[in-house]
Formats: sequence, structure tokens, C-alpha cells
Amino acid sequence: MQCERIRRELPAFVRGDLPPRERAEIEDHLSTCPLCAEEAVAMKGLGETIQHGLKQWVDAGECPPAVVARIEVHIRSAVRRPWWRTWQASAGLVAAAAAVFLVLLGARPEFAEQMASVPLLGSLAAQFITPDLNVQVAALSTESVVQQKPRRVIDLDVSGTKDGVILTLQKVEIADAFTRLLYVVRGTTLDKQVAATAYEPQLSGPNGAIRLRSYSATQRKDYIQFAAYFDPIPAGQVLTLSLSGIPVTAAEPVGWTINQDQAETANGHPDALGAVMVAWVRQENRVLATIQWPEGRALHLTGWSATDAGGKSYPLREYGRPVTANGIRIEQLVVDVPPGIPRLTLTAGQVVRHAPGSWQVSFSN
Amino acid sequence: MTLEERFFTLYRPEQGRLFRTAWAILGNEADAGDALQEATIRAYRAFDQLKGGAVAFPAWIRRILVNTCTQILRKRMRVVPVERPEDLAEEQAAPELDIALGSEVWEAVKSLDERYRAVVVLRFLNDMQLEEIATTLDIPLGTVKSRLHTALKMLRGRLQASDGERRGAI
Repeated sequence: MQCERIRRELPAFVRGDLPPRERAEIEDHLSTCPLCAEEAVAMKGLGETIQHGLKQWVDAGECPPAVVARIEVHIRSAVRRPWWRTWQASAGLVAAAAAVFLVLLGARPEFAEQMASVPLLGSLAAQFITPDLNVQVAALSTESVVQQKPRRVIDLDVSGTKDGVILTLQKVEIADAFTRLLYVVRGTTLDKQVAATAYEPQLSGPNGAIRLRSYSATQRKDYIQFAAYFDPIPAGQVLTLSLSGIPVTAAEPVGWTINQDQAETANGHPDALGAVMVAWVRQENRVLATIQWPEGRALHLTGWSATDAGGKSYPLREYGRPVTANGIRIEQLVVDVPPGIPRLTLTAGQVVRHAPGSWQVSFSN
Repeated sequence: MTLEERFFTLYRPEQGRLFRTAWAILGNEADAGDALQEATIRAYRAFDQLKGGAVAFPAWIRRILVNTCTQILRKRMRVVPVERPEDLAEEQAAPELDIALGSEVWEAVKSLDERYRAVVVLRFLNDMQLEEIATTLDIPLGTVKSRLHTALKMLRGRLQASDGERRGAI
């Protein structure tokens, strides 16, 4: 609708940011449309309130003393001197250790990527993955820094396949403080939208399980790349990496129909999943539907479509990721549908479940 | 006065404003502290190239800070954006305010989801044009406009009374 489009441009218009042609077009509309003209006045007032309020808030600000101190220490001790001299001159000091750590990370971005998922380093290394951000916080003892270099690297390419999903262990790095495993999971039935916590790995040897410290996942186009950190592993043993319950999709339509006043099961088998539509909200150009099911039955309902009684389709999107609360999985959908459509059918084309069993690969240290 | 002392003389009066600017853009104090540290070090390194002296310093370091913050935002925003229920639901009625004080405006802005807050702050606090915001955050201009539109709607609701909606439930 014309007014909807004009209103989108109003924030730019009231600040005088629009080029002459667009500006004239909006002025024309405003001279004939009292509702939009009123909206423009309100928008201008609102913008000024926000601007004034934010600037007032910023001007009243103080920097927390801890941040002030940290910045001064960092500038005075690390910035001016060449890095190697800093290392030699003040090895014992906390500030210098931060500088050493900083420099090591700066010189080797791939090192930073390795450290991103080690729990003790957290936000520091996470910001370092792309080398153009080169400064961070977190003083760290020099020992831990030195320990991070792997003593030994085993390059592998071993895979385990099941149900069309392939687990490939690429590399094992053994350091004093941890063991790092790099592996990839791929497959056409793999559901990559499910959170990476579904893929918690296990590593075991002849003496039992090796403790998992942390793991991280990077979504790529056709696969998911993982890096997992475990406790250090002993030499001369055969170890097995396993993943259980990888999420895979299966085609299995489920759905509901929403009339003006109620929702009813239309097609598919929501009963088999115990899935229910618990609420919907109708706004001027949208319907927001909330669906839930017991967590154990399915991870995710996907491949959604929305159609009216005549079979016409409407754009639909998932509203965030499904969340879990008290063993119930909740999903929300948004359908862009204009007013006056009395009946809408929502259908999920696929169900994502944990596949039973586990994938395993073994290697020898 | 050494270079270091000159830098800090100019820097200290700005620090509170800079911290809050970073906080506004990034949404939390911890990230604000990190970004401020990063920006301060960059500014320090480039300090001898600054022309215009003391007068030019505040705007210059603010520019460095905003760039540092938007760099962080760009990385965060690489995930495909999805909306959440809070975005659609109208807010409960708040008392009508004739003059919104600084902290009340900030409370309202702070409560926005990051994607909306970032656009509002860059627009109204940093006076960026919409095209500039689009380039800076590496998102389409249309997205900036619609986010701003939605954000203003939400802010209006949070700063004044709001309307209701139709609901259905089973």
C-alpha cells in the first residue's frame, strides 16, 4: 500500500536525507494524506526526543575506573616498546604477560582460531579470529601461553558413515594441556539448522572416556567443521571419537489450518509427534503462529509452507530458532499475509530427529 | 610534555562519553570496555598524525571508536537475521512522558534487540545517513530503512502508551 511505503521513508525524509525527487514525491503524498502527515510530525518529534535523550545520556557518562586503569596500563607498558623487548624486560609482570600473549596471537591468526574455544580464553580469542582486531584484555600467565603449542600433530582422514551422514576426523593435535580434534560432519540429510550442541563428541580409549573441555562449530556451505578440546591423551593407545544422535531430516508432512477464530489439524500427523499449535496472533499483514511438541519426538519441524483455501502460497519464515523449555520444544512462524484471508494452512514438510546409534572413528596415538 | 602525557590530557575528558557511545552501539558494558581499549590504542598509535590539535581530537577519536564498534557489529551480524517474538508483540502501556529524560530514552533504546538498537544509535547518536549505516554494517539499504521503521515503532510504544491487537488461542 502506498502509505506503508511512504511511512518507511519518513525517518529519512524528516531529517532531510532524501534526494530531491523522492523528497518531492513524499511531500506530494503528505499534502493529500492527513494520516501520513500526522505520522511525519510524530516521527520528527520522536526522532528529536531519541537524539536528544541519547546525547544527554552519553554526555553524562563516566568510564568505569577498572576500564580506565586497564587502558592506561596497556598503553604505557605495551604499545610503545617493540614486542620482543617487552617480553625480555618484564616477564614476571601481569601486564607484560598480557602483552606477550597479545603479540603471539597477533602474529599467528590460525593460532587464535585454535584458542577460540578453549574455555579459559573465551572472549579474548573469539575476537581474534580475524586478525584485524588485534588487541584484547585478559592477562594470562606465561605458562599457559607456552603450553598451547601442540607437541605432536597427527594428520588423518578417517571417516565413519551411517544413514548418509559422514563423520571425518581430519587432525589430532596433542599439547601438554589439551588434545585438539578437528573433524567434519557432512551429508545431504544433515540438518544444519539445529544447534551445534546436538553434536557433543565423545572420546574414549582403553581406560575409559577422556574428558571433554569444550568444542566449537563453524557452519560451512555443505558441512559443519568442528574443533573439540579434550584432556591430554596418553601415548600408544587406540582412541575412538564418536558422535551420537546426529540430527537428520525425514520428509513427513505435519500441519494445521487457522481459520478466523480457531486452529484445527488439517493434514499430516502432528499427533505422532504430539505437536500442537498453541496460539496465533493476527496483525494487519502477518500471522504469528506458535507450535510446540515434546522434545524427545523431534528436534525441529522444517520445510514450512503457508497456503490459503485457493492454494495460493504466502511467504513464511521461522521466527528464530526453536527453543526448549521444560522438555517442550517451541517454534514460531511468521506468515506475511494480507488482511481478508479467512483461512490459512501451515504445513511442515520435514521432521528433524536425532538419528539413532552413533558414528565412530578410531585412531592411534 | 611527552607524547603520552599530551595524549592522555586530551583523552581523559572524552573517556566517559566514548565509553557510553561504545556501550550504546554494542549493547553491553563489557564489550564497550574492550572496544574502547582497542580504539584508544589505535588512536594512540595514530596520534602523531592528527592535524588540528586539541580542537580536532574529540571528533577524531570518536570516529575511531565508532569504526571499532561497527567492525565488531559487522562480525556479529554475519549470522542471517531472524526476528523474535518480542519484535512483533506490542509493549504494555508506559506512562506518557512529555519530556523523555536521557536515561529514560536510553532504557528504551537499550531494551531493543541488537539489530534495531544498532541502527537507532548510529542514526540518532552518531548522526549517520542511512546509506552510511548500510555500508558500515554491510547490510542492504532497504534493511536499514525497515529496521529503523520497526525500531521507531517499538520506541514510540515504549516511550508512550501503545495499542492492542487481536489474538487467538486454543
